[in-house]
Amino acid sequence: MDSDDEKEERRSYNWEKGIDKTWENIGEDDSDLRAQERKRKKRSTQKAIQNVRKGMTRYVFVVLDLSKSILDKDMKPSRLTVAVKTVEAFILDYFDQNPLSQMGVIVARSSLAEKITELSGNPSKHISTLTSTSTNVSGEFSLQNSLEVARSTLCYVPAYGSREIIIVSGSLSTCDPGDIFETVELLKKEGIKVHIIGLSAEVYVCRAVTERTSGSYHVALNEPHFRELLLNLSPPPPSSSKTETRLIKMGFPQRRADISPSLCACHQQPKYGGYYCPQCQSKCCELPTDCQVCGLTLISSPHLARSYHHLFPVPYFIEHVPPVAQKTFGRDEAACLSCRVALSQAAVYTCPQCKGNFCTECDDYIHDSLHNCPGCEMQSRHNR
Amino acid sequence: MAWEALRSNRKIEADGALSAPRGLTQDDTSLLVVLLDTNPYIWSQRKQKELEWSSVLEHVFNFMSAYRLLKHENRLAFISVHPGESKLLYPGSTDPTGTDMEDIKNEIVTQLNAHTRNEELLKSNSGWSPMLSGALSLALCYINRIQREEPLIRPRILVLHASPDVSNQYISIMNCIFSAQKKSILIDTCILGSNDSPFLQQASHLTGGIYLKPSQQKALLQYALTCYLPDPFARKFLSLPTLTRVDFRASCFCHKETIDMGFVCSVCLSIYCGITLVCQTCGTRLLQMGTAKKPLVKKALPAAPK
Amino acid sequence: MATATTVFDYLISLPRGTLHALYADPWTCQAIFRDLHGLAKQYVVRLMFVSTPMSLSSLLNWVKPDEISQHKDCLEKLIALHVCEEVSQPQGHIPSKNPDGNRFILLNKTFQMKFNDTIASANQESWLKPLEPTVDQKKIEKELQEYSQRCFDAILNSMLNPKETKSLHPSIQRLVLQTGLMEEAKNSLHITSKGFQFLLWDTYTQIWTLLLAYLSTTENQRDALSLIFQLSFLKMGQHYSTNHLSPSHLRIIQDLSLFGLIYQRRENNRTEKSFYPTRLAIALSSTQSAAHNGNTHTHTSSSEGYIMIEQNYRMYAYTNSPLQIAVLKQFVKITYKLPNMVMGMISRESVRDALRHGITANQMIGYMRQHAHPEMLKNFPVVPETVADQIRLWETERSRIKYEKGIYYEKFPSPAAQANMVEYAKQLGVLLWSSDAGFFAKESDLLKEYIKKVSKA
Repeated sequence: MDSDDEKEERRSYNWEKGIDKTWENIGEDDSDLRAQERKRKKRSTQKAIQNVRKGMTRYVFVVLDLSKSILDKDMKPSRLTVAVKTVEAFILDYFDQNPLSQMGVIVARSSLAEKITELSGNPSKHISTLTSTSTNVSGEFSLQNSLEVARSTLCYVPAYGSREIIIVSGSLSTCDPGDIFETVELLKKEGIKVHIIGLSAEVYVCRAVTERTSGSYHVALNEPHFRELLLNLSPPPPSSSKTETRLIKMGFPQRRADISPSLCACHQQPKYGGYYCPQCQSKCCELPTDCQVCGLTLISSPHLARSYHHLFPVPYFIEHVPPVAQKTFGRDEAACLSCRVALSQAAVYTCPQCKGNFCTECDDYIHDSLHNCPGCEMQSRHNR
Repeated sequence: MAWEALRSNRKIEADGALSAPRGLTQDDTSLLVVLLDTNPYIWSQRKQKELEWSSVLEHVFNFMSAYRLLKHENRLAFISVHPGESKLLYPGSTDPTGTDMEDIKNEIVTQLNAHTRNEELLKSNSGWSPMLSGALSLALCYINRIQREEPLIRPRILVLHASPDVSNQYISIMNCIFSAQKKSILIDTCILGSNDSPFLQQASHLTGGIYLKPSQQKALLQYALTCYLPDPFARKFLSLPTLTRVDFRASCFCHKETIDMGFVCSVCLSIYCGITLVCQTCGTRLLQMGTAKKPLVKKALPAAPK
Repeated sequence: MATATTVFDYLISLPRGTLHALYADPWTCQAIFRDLHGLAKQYVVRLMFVSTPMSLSSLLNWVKPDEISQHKDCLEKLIALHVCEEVSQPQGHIPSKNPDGNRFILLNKTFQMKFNDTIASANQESWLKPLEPTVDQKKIEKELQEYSQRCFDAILNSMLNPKETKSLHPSIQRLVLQTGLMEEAKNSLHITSKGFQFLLWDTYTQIWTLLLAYLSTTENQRDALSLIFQLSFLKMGQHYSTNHLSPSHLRIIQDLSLFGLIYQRRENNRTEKSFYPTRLAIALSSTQSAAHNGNTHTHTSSSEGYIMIEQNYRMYAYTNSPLQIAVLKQFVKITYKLPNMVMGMISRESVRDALRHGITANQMIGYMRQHAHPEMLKNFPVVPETVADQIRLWETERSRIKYEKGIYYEKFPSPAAQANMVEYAKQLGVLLWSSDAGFFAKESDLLKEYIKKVSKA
């Protein structure tokens, strides 16, 4: 017995055994992380109720905290670079999803708030001004001053638009000249919503401000979470009862290229072509904009069309788990309707309206980017 | 010093790893999706100078075979835009790469015959309008799938369209255009009918493709080989036809006429040419007309002294 | 004997008559078309159906004004290959002031005809007839893979180990000598610096170098070239009959099987009357520039990539093949060898060794990139910048010092005399360096005579 045990021990030295390729033994169990992630995202977006009136014209001020606390290096390379990059991505996504809306940028430093760009529809101007001034960081963050500066412009904005302030703050305190809750009352009266994204920790005053103005307050855990929180604010929010419903007069100019140059109304520079306002015939360089001479909002039909998918979204597809899928679908139908890939193993998604079957990738693509169900498109849709 | 010299030379070298991530090179594999309008109502009523159905297929097949000669790995897909249902005719179920041009042609012709002779489709409630939005969505989903298999492929779409535009497909077509824009997919258009198509003009303009209405349709192959064959790399060097005027005007929802100035409902963004009290699409009661800027604060006038 | 390095150079060196005869074969036309520059391809397609000559000035309208230099390059190449030809002015043409307006161009008639046929796919039948498969597909693919790898690796191996050179077929030995990849020394063959570079090239360039040398030894170059071009269009795994091939073709097929491009199965000690193209033959279908950039995907590389490089100059190669390890040894110092992996360090000494053999830094980096492990391919750039830049710096170090032979003149009787001498040397153009103590100049008889004259005075 003893010698047997000893022999066992001796044989059990690792270098005496053959190579144990432990890396090959790793397998994926049923908790497929990728699928879980998708389900979580789906659930969070499905919570957004579909048949709610959305605020299509938005007037948003983005406030960036440029106080000393933003130089902290807990997000790599520093909170400042991460914040600036994410705000740039947000600006681009915002104008992509809300072409009719306008945005302005405010920076808060040295206990003051400074409006660096006015409300406008031109993303590149915002981005360039932001990158040039974001290098100058100093002092403390002042919540009340930022809100006051934003409010002073937002109160003159037309009533049919939804008014929002989005604050990105990394500080744990605020340096205010007066009673912040008075400002909050004024904001509530004007119907301005405040959304705050904190980079450090939850602060009571931020929570109070957002709750009273029916906005949202989140604290970012890491860089991807921060990006997700900020980009979640780009789709149009449900509109509040305070916003009025109006008919807005808009012009649809045509682009003309002329043989001889003429001055444009926005830059006073001679240009060869441009868009001519249908009301006053003055020239402007880019759309969407407000005509400088007569004040008419000028847009082109693709801009309007970009927002249509918010109004007529694709219904969420019903998911079928593999065993069910194999039973109910015959051999002919075992191919995804849009990309013809075989459907046997993966989960199958069915459109509730046209009953077409789609694969996972097509389902993602249709809901994230295309906003058209190919099956529903085949069955003719008369006026929606 | 040597380090700086090295860094400045970085861009000049033709070293693949040091060039910009997705710059165009002449060795990019392309994916071409051909959308051919197979609307029998249109093709049966051709005027004198226009191309007949029998010759259109020949031109298209020759163009496709020239495309395949450009590069061995180039991929091809063929969708027929038909009233009732648009269908991906090639590739069907066989492995796409390595098939002879003859096999491709045969498969497309057999599938096309089966598809177009299907009278059920024509009886469906779509009437005589071909499903262009459906075909574009199909093309984009197929491209999305191929891009997963071969991430470095460069896709483009060629639409050969003869039927007039259908206004209720506007929103879906615009969605397809924006999705194509995001993925940098070019949409080239060739109009074989008698009227221009504003939808496809916008599609080609926004995605950077070519829009053409050939004046001599019998020379379709030459037009195709000159304008639509070059891949995005070659298009950098060649001077190709561009649109001078793109009609971006919207059409009003009540009369379907194009208008220069109109009124837009702030809730559902539907366009009207005149003032209405109730929006027809979303049913909201609309207050009086709003202008861009709110008037300055009106102070109540002091009461006149008695 | 200097051999052409690329297919195009070789084709350009052929006489016009041979090229014309070559273009009678539609497969040659297709193969050459495939290898053209992207812009040149468009030009050929545009001129395809044109039968009246076009003036060069009207062709200028095809390009954007900024890209005229590209346009001229492409046209020159097309004319050099005789794909496009200059023709005389057509009747009724009014001479224009612009010289380009008087030169007319047209596509080579034979090329045009054959290419038209290809597009209309009227005449796609190759004179190589495919046969029904007789053996199981998977078995054949395995045999093909083994055979081609064995043959080609044998050639590469023999370059590294002179002892194994004797085992090569004598005709291949001759080829290898001819291309300058190896040289005779003391009754055995040694690899040259060109040979070292050859080892690091991609498969496409390697095959073509050997094929071009082979072509120069055959009598009927035209037939051989057209057969090689046809091979690249064949399907792998399909065998083709040899029954109706001419004797010269048969001989070429047998020679190509020595390279590993073609496989002839032996069953019961009797060669079958058919042959299979291997993956090396199909590799000829990828374009040249793609191969240079290392963009060719799996079907041309013999295996998946296996090299991983870290930013601390360590290299891990997951390979067992002695050939690949021997190639890596050229510029990497191998430190450990494990059952499935080889570990090494890229050091200054190892890189300088390689540089001394004539391998350039770009070749080393290109080789690493081409055989990079799939995980490495996810990085951008594939080879870490630090490593790539450092290899280049080590290469430029070798050219830091320039040597010039000369004579140093010093201890002049007076500064004025020295200044005089320096001035004269400068005028002669032989002055290399001067200072207060003396000056350094290249050897020059005039200078010597002048000094003698002055010293006598």
